Amino acid sequence: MSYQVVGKSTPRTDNTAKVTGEARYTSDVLLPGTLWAKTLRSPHAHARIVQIDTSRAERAPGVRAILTGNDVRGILYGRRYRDISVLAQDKVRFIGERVAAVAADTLEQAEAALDLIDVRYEDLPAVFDVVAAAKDGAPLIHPDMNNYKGLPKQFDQPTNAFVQDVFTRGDIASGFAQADVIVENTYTVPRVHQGFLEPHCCLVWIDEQERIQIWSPCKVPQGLKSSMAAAFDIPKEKIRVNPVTIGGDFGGKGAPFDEPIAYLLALRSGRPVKMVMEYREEFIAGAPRHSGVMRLKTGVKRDGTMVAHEMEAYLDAGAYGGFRPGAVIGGVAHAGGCYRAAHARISVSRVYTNNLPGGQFRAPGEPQGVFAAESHIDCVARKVGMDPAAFRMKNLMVEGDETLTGSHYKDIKAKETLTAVLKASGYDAPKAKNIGRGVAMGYRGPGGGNTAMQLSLNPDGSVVIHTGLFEQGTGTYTTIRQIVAEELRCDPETIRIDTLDTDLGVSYDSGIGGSRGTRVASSAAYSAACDAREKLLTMAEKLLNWPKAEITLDGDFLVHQKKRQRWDELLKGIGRAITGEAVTRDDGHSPVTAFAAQVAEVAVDSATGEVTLRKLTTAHDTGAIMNPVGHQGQIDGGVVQGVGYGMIEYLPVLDGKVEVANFGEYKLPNIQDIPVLKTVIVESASGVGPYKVKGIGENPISPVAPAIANAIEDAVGVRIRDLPLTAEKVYRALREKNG
Amino acid sequence: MKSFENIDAKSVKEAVGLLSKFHQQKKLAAVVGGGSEFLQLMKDHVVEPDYVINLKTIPGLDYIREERGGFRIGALAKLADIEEHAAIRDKLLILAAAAGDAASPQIRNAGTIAGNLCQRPFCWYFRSSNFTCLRKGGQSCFTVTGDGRFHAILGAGPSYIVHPSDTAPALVALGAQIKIAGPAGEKNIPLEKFFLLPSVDYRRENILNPGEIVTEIFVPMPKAGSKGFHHKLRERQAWDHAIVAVDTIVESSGGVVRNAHVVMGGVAPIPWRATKAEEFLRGKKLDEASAKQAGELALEGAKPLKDNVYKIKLAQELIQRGLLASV
Ligand SMILES: Cc1cc2nc3c(=O)[nH]c(=O)nc-3n(C[C@H](O)[C@H](O)[C@H](O)COP(=O)(O)OP(=O)(O)OC[C@H]3O[C@@H](n4cnc5c(N)ncnc54)[C@H](O)[C@@H]3O)c2cc1C
Repeated sequence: MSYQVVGKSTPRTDNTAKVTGEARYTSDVLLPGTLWAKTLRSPHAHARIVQIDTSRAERAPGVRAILTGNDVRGILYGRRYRDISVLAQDKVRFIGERVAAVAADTLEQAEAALDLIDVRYEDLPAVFDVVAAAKDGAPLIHPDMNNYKGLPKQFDQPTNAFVQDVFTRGDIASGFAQADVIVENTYTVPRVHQGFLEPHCCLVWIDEQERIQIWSPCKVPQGLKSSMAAAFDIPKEKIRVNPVTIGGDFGGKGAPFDEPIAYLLALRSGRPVKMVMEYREEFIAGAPRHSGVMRLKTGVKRDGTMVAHEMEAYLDAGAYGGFRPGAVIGGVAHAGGCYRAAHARISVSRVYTNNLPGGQFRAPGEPQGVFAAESHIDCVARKVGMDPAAFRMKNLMVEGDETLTGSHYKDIKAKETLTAVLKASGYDAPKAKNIGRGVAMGYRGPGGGNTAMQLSLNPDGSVVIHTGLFEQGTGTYTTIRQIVAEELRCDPETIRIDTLDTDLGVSYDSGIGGSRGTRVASSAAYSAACDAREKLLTMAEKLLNWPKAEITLDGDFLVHQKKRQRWDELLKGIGRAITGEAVTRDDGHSPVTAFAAQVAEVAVDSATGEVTLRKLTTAHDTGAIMNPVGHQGQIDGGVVQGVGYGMIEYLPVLDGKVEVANFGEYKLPNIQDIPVLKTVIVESASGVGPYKVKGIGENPISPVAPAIANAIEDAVGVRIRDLPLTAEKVYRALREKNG
Repeated sequence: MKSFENIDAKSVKEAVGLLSKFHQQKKLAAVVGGGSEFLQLMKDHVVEPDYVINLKTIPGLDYIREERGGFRIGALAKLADIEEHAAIRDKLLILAAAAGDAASPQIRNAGTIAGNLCQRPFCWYFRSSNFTCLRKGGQSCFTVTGDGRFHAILGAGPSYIVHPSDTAPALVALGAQIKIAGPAGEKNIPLEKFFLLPSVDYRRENILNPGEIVTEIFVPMPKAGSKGFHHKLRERQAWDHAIVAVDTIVESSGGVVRNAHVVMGGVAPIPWRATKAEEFLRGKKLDEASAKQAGELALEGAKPLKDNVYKIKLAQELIQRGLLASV
């Protein structure tokens, strides 16, 4: 199939507004009479609130409303699992938890009033270690967890391990009994923050019709509406989420944050209330990627055939679990890897501790699981004396296999993707001393979801797409516009996108996430465009007497043989627009997945442990690529975040206290840390939707860290099982090895 | 950020006068050059001054002048200007490289040399308003029980910060002088004497008294036959402080050391001069063995915390490399 617009690099719809500063973010929205609100945060990791005295703060200048836990009794919120207190009620569960909130005329007055609130705490035993927290007898952080809405499975006794997922296949014990060699290791990963430029923020106003108007950079606006309605037991129709530009998401902008507090303060004060988290607040109480501990045990035959693979993972959810969509983090199960083994047992627990809550970050669970799995596979290969790439080739899934966690996919391209990356990276080329190459793989299918879209062809000649999807910054709108331009044979630049607030958008829109953007949006845009074209041609047939099947579109014109007719003139004549409509309900398991294979090449200074990442090659099994420049942007961005996770980033937390307060100390990689990036595309005709696409947003990030860890071992013979892979750890390991 | 009043100073005298006045009135006042470091502390609620005295409005204090005996650098000269100054690059061996290794291009375009030498520690406990550490009036240095991977191994206690400046060790190795203006007039002292160990005073990093500001740095011309080495080891390759930095100036002839300056950054609360190593090197032929021994001597007496033992070996290794590269 050849296309005019689809498949060609197209500049993003949001470029100009963003670089010129015209894009309107939540912080830019100010209503007359807006109050500023700030929250007082707990300095204790686990403590009973004995008393809160707000009387001095109430008398402070400019203060209009104050809330404490006593005002929000029984109100819990969350994305779907609802365990988060709007403000701490009777006890605090982490350092940084919101204890009281003040709304005042100015930000400074709100901040000053916080200092006047007196809270008396009584410490409770706290637990910070995820494995210890999962054990019987650990201090129980949520004794009421069995009563929380959205808990997938109730427990006989309340436990901190509020999610315990187990996938089994075959019989793990007999699998290990058949093995000639068994390798067992434990891998640990730290928390990392999404690092979006715009911290969580919101504005809430209760309008003259008593409707709750929200402005918030939330990529799941309908979800925000549902969460608010559920938390406060109010009808959904009372809430409206208004579109704004999202200042970076990376997975972290899907949950309500301060919206519930701002709502209550607005209710109390009768004024619009604005809240903007400072970055130091993001670091101590945002919802970063979960840290975790993963134990892997693999049994192989002497010839390298994997027979048994076991993983036991504990993810540290911190004090609250509701900042991610479901209670379960499916992605960790990817520690199963993309391999075949007759016997497997993968268990994943999500565990409460008194650390800051964990949230959602690009490919949730996968960077953790894939780091463990792909590091481990290398260890296993080395143990049986095989080259790690050859070992993978031998054990990779092939057509007809299901994943260790029981998913079926067709058109498995695992081996093709691995072969492509080995070739492009020069994996087998000779290398100098202290240079190493490491390979790692991952896979991920595009997520499903629902949305609806309308497309209007207007009498003034304009083409307008109406969508309830918010552009979260990845270029979804650009793709939607390409599709409409393709189907209507017009210039994408002339198409406008009208973002609908949640009153106008459909209520079942699932928002952006899970690499679903292109899959869901492309099929909605395609159907809406086809519907509009069909209606336009039907009208043209009637008015012009041209046989419908012989009419084509060309920009502003309808064309039949030598004759051309502007369609806007026809619409002016009949005095109305034509609207194409589409409803996409595509939330099932994707029939295809997409593999990624990467090779990292490092140079290690054997005296200092310094690791220089020299080159990273990434191969992707893709469907049709709608917008090559956007697709490449997702790959490069994902790899860069993977380099950060692999080599630099971590949120240091000591006894529940986060040690960094700004981006000076919380280090994200910058351009000097990024090596030559090389991409290989293994395109195939399989894919989903009208254009046969696969997702890309989350695929490139996960294999990076293990590829680097594997390259380090290849270079100097030491294995680092804890992220990030710093010079210090390599240095220590080298010392240990060399004595 | 707490609101404050900004005052644009027009002269050194005015700035000094204002500082003294506010000090007497028990108001909190601070000077800023580029503000690149100080503003961050204000945003993070670590310092909340009533007055900020802007030095950038003082005309003519950003000079870089080459004289016969050395270079005079005005307090307001920017790091980027030092980094790019052709004669400094050519003649001061390591200073341009050290300035160019500091922070990020944006910060170097705003940050001044005086601000760089007077910047507060980049210890995460000091920088976070969630910790009231010893240096901020608290009871203890959290590093002792906490995470001290970036902290001091030499000259520390009761506070374990490392001095964050990249230019300071280079300037100390070059034997720079610093000029200070205060209510009592001006004085010139060796830069090495400018910095304070926590055992002397753990609330400040240098000898500046209330009312005093830095006005100039003088860097003498290195002796003929000198070679310099600067290397900074860090976690990420730009916009990051040193885990260990080493600055050496070695004056030698025929492979024999006449005079050596060996200074480390990132290991102590002040730029740390390895005097023992310097003495040892005098008159020695520089080879693998003597360089190695100098490295070991330089780290003699190091007392690492539980998380930063690795700094010792890194520093030794860098010193060894530096010395070998200097002949
Ligand atoms: C994220 C980050 C990373 C950094 N990384 C590095 C690094 O790797 N290496 C490095 O060397 N530096 C680093 N820096 C520090 C940077 O070099 C300084 O911010 C800059 O040099 C300070 O210059 P300034 O003029 O902006 O100082 P300001 O911010 O204006 O002032 C800094 C301090 O010096 C005082 N001060 C300023 N001028 C004078 C004066 N004339 N007399 C007396 N006191 C004065 C101020 O009161 C203040 O306490 C980093 C800074 C940041 C924010």
